[in-house]
Amino acid sequence: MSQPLRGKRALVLEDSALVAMELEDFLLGLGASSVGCYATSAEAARSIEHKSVDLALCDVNLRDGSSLALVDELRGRGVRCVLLTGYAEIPDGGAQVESVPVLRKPVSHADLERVLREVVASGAADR
Amino acid sequence: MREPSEADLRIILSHLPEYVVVVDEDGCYSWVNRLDPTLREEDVIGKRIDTYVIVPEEKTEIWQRAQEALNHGKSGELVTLGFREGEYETWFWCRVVPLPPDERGRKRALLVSRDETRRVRAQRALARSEERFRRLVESSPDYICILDERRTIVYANRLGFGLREDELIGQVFDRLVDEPSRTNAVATVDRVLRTGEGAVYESSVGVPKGASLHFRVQVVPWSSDSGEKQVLLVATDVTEEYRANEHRKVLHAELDHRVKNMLALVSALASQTARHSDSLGQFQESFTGRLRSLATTHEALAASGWRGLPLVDIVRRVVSPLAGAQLDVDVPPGIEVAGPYVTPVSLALHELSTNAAKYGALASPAGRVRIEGARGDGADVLVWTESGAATAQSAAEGFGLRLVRRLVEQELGGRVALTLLDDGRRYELRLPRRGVA
Repeated sequence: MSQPLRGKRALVLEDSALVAMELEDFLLGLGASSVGCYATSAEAARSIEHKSVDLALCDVNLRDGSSLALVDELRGRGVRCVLLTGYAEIPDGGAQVESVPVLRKPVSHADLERVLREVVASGAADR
Repeated sequence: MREPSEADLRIILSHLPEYVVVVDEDGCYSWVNRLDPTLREEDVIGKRIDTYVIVPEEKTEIWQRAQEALNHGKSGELVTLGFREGEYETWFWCRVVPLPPDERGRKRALLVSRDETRRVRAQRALARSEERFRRLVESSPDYICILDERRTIVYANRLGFGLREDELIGQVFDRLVDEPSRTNAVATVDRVLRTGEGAVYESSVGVPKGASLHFRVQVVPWSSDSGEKQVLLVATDVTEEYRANEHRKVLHAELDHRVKNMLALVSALASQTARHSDSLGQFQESFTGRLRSLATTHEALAASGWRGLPLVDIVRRVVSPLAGAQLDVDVPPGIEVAGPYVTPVSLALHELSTNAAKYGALASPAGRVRIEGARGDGADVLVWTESGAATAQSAAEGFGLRLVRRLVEQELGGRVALTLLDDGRRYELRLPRRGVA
């Protein structure tokens, strides 16, 4: 198996622990290392304050509300983000996530891998 | 043309529908063209002309009219109630005109009267009917108004929205409707004025210091008394219907979201189970078991309206099928698990059960599982104790235990503590009631 995410530090923001485990395992399988899985934006923001992160998989609707504010902050720090949502439409605040890829749940491994490769490639091109 | 003779005139007069009376200078009947069939001549001739008028004011009035005709040469008209018996009334129209004095120079007047009962009755019936319709329209919960061709309000059945009458009547209707409803409302009214075909539109009205109201407005072609084109608007408040509809849309979206999350969960469950299965048979057994634990509590959760379930119910639904008679449950019924946490708690209990069945107390007929619950500060504590079958921790139970830790610690923001005992083990699960902060 190729490791397109080798050397990338990845974060999972998802309130279902089982879905988070699966996403984390998938990222590890693609060669990434895990920064952690978090169920709320607040907890994630606290935990990564002094950590470096390259990549984030974020569910849009968490129990403590929308994750879009945190996604914005992560992007400001240069973190490549991919959004996951169970909603057909991105809720209020959707405008601020333009240019961030969005995947509808449930996500197939093939789609997720394709989007992750694109995101990492565009990140490399930026530098 | 030959003039009729006096004899002809008497015959003609006796066949007129009107009563024609000559009044003498004392205001008394001196001659009548014909007699009412119920009266004799002596009941009439020489009697004052107000004799058969029964309402005192009308008696005075007809007497005054006669005096004015006799003394001042003035004509007059009035309608009087001539006769009443119970419900039955007879009305007369009367006209009093001066006549030239007789051959002896005595003043005279002519009184012509006609039975107007039918007309008065019809008029009263119409007035009553109009009054009934007016009350009907005014008591309607709908807003009903009439607009003229320039869309000016000429009638409104009642005031509303804190408007005074002068802010409504005479005002252009357009001003009362806010955009975005205005364009459509004005176009619909104009179309009905132009085509004469009725139409219906829906409109939202913003209310100061309140949520907006929603109306369904029927536009009916109408016309004024003088035949000018108008429209009748009947606006029914459908706010509740509208809100129920909006609420239904929200529920649908919410249900769709839940289903997608559940599919994502099941998809992850399948992948995770596959990662940790050695064979397809093992996968099928583990996956089906996990799915069943989700299904059994999901069913009860849906029945609760997604509010939540008592912890003891989850324990019985998830653990009992695997533990059977080897299970002791001591969980107070007052401990509730909120809706969003029912699924992770169910899965965690399922994983503890399957681990116990494969590697723990439930693997031996002598083993027992005891589940105790207690309410703590902001969190509930569930203690799972296995006894009667000492087992070493097996590497094979690793995934189940990892899942339990993730579910409780990451998703619920709680803690899992495992203690190995001489004849078993104990898990202490701390379950915050508000989940992870």
